[in-house]
Amino acid sequence: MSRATPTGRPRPVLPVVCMAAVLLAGAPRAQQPLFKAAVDSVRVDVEVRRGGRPVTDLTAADFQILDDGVPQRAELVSTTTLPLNVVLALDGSASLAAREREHLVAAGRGVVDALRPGDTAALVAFSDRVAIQTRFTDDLPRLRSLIGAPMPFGDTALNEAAYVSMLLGASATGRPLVILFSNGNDTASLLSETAVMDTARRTGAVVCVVTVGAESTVLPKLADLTGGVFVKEGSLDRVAARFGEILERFRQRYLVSFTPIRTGKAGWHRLSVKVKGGGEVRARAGYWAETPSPAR
Amino acid sequence: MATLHRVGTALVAFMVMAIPSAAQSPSETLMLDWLALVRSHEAGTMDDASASASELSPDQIDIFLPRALESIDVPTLKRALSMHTDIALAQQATLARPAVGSRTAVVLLDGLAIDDIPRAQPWRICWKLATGLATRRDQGPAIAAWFRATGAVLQQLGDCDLLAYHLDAGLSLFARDAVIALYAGTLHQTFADARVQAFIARRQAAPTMPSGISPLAQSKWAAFEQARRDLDRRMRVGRDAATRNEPQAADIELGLARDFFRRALQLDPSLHETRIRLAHVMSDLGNHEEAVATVKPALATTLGPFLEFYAAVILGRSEEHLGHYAAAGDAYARAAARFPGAQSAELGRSRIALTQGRADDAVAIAVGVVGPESPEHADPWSSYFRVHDPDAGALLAAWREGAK
Repeated sequence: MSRATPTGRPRPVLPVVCMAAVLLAGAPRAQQPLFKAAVDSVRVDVEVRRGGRPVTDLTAADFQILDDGVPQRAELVSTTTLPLNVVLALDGSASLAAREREHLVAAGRGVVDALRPGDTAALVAFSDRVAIQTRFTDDLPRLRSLIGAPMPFGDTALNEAAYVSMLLGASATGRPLVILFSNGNDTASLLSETAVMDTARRTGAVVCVVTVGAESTVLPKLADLTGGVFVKEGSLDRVAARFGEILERFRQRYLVSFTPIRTGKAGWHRLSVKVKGGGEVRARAGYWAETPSPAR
Repeated sequence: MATLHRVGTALVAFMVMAIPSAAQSPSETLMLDWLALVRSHEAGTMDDASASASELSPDQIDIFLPRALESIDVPTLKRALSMHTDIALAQQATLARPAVGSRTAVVLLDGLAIDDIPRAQPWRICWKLATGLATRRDQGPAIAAWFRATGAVLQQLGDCDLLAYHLDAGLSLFARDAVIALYAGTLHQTFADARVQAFIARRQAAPTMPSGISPLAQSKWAAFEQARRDLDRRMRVGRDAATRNEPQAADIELGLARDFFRRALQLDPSLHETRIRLAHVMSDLGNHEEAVATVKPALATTLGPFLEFYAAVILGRSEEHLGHYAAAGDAYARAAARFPGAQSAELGRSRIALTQGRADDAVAIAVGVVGPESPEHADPWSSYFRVHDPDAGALLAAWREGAK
């Protein structure tokens, strides 16, 4: 089963999620963006590690999910065949030296080179302006070229870049991952940190962050809230390795789905995800339901 | 005889002023040369007279300036102020670097010092002339207008360093001038901004000079560090508080800004720019209700495009914080109507669409303004700390006209 992408390349759909959505909403949900999946079926990317190593042999029965404290029945979506939709958000602001920029370009191209058939990527570059260089595409040569193109140069509209990246990610029809690089705090956005965090709750995109340099106030919280990782590096020549690890670890995650029961309110739902046998579990802190779901 | 004597005295006096005699002291000669330049200078230009005057060092001018301020007539002193203002502006525009005796300031971009600039000295002469003139009868309003006009210029240039000294001088003379208080508030608001705070944080994170760097890099490092210390002194309230683990320096600067804005608003309730900036500060301090109440009256009046934009986005942001999404959406839309395609306002609209459950609209608006096919539009938000209405050029032209 496949569906043509805008660039004509076939990619698989998500059969398990599709079935759940059809049952609940009476309409195909296979490639709905995260925005609309929230009410009927909730998907959560879950990373499980023990002793620093990924745990890869879990079944749905191993997951314990609480939605606002109410136990839910987890369904496991196979992860190996699911394509990724990666939003690469790169800081091109003035505080980045030319040599550092070279490392960043190399790191970005490393992500593109690590994409697999079916995966797509979008590119967001930012300084005081945010620029979506391309929406999701599987045209890898074009992506590589765009990553090397001149970036906006100026202050850092980090909040606005994070906002646009999450929005873009959540509009994807597959499995979105935002990889965001910045070397500092916001110095230019009108959009507040509060708005960024609220957007993270509403969109559900997983945001993984790599920073170099100054302490960031919003980025660790953003990564934590969305179930992503926050990595602070000492030097930009390490960023390529971190990007690669993020992508690889994201591929090893479980995609768990559940249909909320007895938690029908609209708004923010706090999630707790654990696994039998214990381990380090990383998942988003909750999800946003636009409308109350019917009582079940 | 008495009349003749008076005429004769006047003539003698004129001769002394116009033709240096062998008995003149060097300082008198300098002053006469200077006066000749002042009288031949055409205001608003960098002509031969001002070019020659710019070669006089501030120390040379200091030798005769006190006597000039006592003895020279007001119109000539105002011409002198006009000439030295032109010199200062010209040096600032070309980043001319005086040879010796300069202070240093740093150029900040994105919280990073990217250059150091020896400061031009002519402003020091301007401040002395202005201060001397302000004590002359009926000259207060004209000199206050000069501080307002040149303050707007320095704010427009983003020169916080000189503006701080400029406002010190201005406030010491005109403590009850609403516009000068407005500038002072804006300066503290700028100090609280992330661009300045990030610079300080970066310097404090690396307090010692790296080893093994070139002499040129050492010189730059030292200049940046000196600038950081100057800034620390300027922001001494915040720094001391930070040391005592009290509220962060940025919040204290915001508090100072709030106090100046409140004073300005009290002095002139019709100064709408003050309302807008006060609302912004209140929003940054987390008091969104007061921000909304403060800025709304400004939006009920006729504002210039920039002020209307700022008022609208600040209202939008505060309403959004309060969860009043419809009102926030209206405010952002008003700003976007003033400057179509402005990223800040359009992303505000996008955010509101998201909060209202219109995710597709949120994406469409965002892609429409920052997408691959969207043209780049000016965003007034990026110049928020530099804008004053009426603008610096208009204020300066009006002052020059009055100084003729």
